[in-house]
Amino acid sequence: MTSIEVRNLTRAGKGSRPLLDDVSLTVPSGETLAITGPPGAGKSLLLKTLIGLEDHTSGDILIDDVVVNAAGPRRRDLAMVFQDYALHPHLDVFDNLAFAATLRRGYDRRELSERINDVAEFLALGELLDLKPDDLDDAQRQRVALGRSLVRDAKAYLLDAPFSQQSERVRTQVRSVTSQWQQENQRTSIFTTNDVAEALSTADRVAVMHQGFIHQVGTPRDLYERPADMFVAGYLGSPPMNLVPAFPMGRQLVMPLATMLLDDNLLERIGERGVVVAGIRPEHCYDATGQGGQAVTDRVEFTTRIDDVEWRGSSQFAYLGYDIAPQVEDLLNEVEDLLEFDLFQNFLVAELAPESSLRPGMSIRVVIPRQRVHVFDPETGENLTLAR
Amino acid sequence: MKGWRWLAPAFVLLLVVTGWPIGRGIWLSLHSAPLTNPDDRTFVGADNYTDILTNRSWWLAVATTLVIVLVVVVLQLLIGLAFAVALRRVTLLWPVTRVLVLIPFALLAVVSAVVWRDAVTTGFADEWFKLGEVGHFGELVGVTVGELWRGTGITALILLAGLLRVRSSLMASAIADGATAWQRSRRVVLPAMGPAIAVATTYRALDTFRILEGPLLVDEPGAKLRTAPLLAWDTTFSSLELGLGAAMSMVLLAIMLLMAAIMVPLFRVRRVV
Amino acid sequence: MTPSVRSRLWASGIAFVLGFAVANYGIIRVSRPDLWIWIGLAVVLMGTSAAGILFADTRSGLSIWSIIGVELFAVFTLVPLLWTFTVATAPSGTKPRTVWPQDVSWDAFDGALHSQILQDAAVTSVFVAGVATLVAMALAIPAAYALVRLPVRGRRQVYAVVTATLFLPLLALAGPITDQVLALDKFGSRVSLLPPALLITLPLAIWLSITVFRDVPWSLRDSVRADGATWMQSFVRFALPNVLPGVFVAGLLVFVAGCNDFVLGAALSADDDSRPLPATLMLATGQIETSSSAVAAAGLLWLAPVILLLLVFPRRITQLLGRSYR
Repeated sequence: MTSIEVRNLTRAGKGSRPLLDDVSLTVPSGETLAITGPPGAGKSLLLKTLIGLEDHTSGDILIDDVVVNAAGPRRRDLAMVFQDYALHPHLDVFDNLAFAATLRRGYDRRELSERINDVAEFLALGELLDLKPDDLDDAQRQRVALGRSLVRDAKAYLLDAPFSQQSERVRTQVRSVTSQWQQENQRTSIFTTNDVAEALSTADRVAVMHQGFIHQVGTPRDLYERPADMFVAGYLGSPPMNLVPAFPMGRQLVMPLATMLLDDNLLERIGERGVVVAGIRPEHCYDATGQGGQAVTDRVEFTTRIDDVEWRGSSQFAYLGYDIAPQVEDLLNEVEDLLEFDLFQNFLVAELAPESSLRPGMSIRVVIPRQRVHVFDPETGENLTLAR
Repeated sequence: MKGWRWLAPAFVLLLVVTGWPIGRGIWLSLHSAPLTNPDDRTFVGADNYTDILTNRSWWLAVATTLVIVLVVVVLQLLIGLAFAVALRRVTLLWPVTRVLVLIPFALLAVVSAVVWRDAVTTGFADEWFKLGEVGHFGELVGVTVGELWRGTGITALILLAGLLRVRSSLMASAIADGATAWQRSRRVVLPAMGPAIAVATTYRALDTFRILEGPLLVDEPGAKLRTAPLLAWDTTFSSLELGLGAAMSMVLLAIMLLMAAIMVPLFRVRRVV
Repeated sequence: MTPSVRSRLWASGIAFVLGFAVANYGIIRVSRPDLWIWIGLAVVLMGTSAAGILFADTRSGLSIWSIIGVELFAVFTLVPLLWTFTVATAPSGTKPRTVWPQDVSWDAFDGALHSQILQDAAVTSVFVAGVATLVAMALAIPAAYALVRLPVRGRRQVYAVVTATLFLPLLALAGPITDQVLALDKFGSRVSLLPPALLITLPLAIWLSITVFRDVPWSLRDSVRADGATWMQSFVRFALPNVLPGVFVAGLLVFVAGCNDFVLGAALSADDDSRPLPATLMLATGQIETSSSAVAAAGLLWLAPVILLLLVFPRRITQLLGRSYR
């Protein structure tokens, strides 16, 4: 049972932007935290800093409420899975699995070998114990790397993209046996992933990281339904939230394609801003004639032409194009440049029920529940709807 | 700089052991200095250099050396490339060929020069091809072939390393794209092994240029064809004219520097540390 | 990838023509016993041709072109080696005229093994190259580590200097070095060979060590540390298996290169006591009878440890050399 805490962790970079930017996290004991974010966000660096392989410029790392800034990896006693597996080429799978455990005195050889067999069994490595890493494929190597850390009795587990190479079917299984194992042994763990769905489905809490900065930490549901800022909103979800420029005019919020009535609360929070960004999740757009659409009472409505349709079996995506004024486009580009991330498109994606047969060129009436529309400050990215 | 602390001892020593003789060489080259009598040194300025640069036999020697380098390097590249291509496909024999490929290179240059000279004067090459009396020129060709033989293995090895960078998936995709064998070698294999060819060419050229054993072995008094390194050696250690020899050495260094300065950008020789 | 039928048939045709030409030339121009070498080669080539036709229309991955290439490679390498052996075993006073040894006499080997001059020379070579290698490797290992792993300002320039010294013609420095050694009155001593020997060993040691360190799986070191290994444990369990073999082989290659230098040894030694082996073979011919066979015998004996080395670490050596010069 171990808790990990990070306070204002900063690592200066070569340019003006720090590699780790004032990161604060608390992982209570037994919890699984996922860190997700685009490639280059600093996820691996954060893990390596936690375990003591990388230095940090300022801030504190606490393991079980003890500051361990100066301690080496051995004293911190965490286990880590590396993104590139880090397997010993001259050792076979069994010895690789045993490696970390045999570094410490007082292990029982019989117990260890039993444990290795157990871990190998549930990671589907049982047949491979005699092989060398060179004889394995990437997925198998990754499972060995995962198993290597699980065999060891560490205080907590840091897993750097531990499931990335697994095929779709194996991945679910490996994920579930790993989290089962963690729950049984009551292990604290932090894992990183590029895969948002994986983060949302596997972790107790999720941290969204980008440019060395933690944008939001929360339960998966919290993050998805109440994104703290524009980046989190635009990063989570597949397809991600539609972000469109919007203009407050009196009590109205004028968006491309639609106009929404603002309530007092939101009106006050928008204040003097001339431009805001409205966010609408694709699955919150309903066909007005369909079942879901008729049930919506407090609604935003508009009629437009369908540019393109993608039918997916369980749902279908309608692409609804709109135009953006050049000045506004410049502003949006600036925001994207600053974030180094593509947030805006010039079409709205609506995820609709699969039954109706939609075709490009058709006219469609779309309804959106008013409560589901998020409004962001384009400059700070802050979600203005959260207070409501 | 954390890195320099580790690097400095080796680098400084390297600079000392190379810089010192070069500096002394430059200083000597400005003097008339017989090796036998160190006290008899007079400053002559650039006289040694003008002597060399206006000397016809020196330039003949340089030309001879360059011709040898050209022929040897071109042949080594062609033969080495053929062998590399063959060795890559016949992986079954790899344990044997991998040893075989390096044995000639491991043989002392002196030994290879001696046996190759014997081969063309009295030995098997004479016997097989009925060469007859080959003379000094023939002997020089003989030791050059010896040098060619010694260096082909390592050239093949370098080219093979370059060839191995061509992934089989790359080849397969080129075939799928409908590339002919010629297009495949021109547009897939050659660019991928380009760096290896560049390094092999430069390395072999510079290495062949400085070779001394063979020419020294077959050298005879009054021989017309001498290589530039031989001339420098002879001036220093037989004529014992240290100053003139040093000047020749410096000119040699300059020529090699020039060769490197032409070849390195021309072939885009690079290796990222 | 299966070669096409047409390419195989072409290869067969070429092999046949080659074999035919070799056989004819051998029969007409070459006398026994070398005739058998020619005929043997012709038979192998024609056999290859036949195999090419037999396998032409199969799916096997066999490449006839490569087989011809390997056969020619074997002839190219082995015939001169056999010739060297023949020269070495020629009875004293005779000059061999055929590649195939006719009268094998081990006198030259015997002489080389018992010759005081050659023994001294070998000792000198091994001593000088050994010390120079140890010094060079001791300095090169941290230097290569820094170049590969640590931030170094001017990395490219350092690298350029190392490469330049690697190709430096020692010959051009032999005169000045001799002069310096004479000025210090150390001419003719083994110790005087040491600093110049660093000219050969040091750049090569740095250069090869760089390749070794580039191929070390460094993330493994992070992982070993993350596993909580102590300093000693990470040395024993990471460095020993992952770094040391490469460094060791690099050191051996540097040592061989140091041993095989001729120029400096020839320039710097006045007498036989302090002359390394390659220079002795060239310059001391007066003192060794029937020079060619003695030289060849000594060369083959000198080659033996290197071949042993190649047999023990074939993979590492080819990889190291191939990748270093790439």
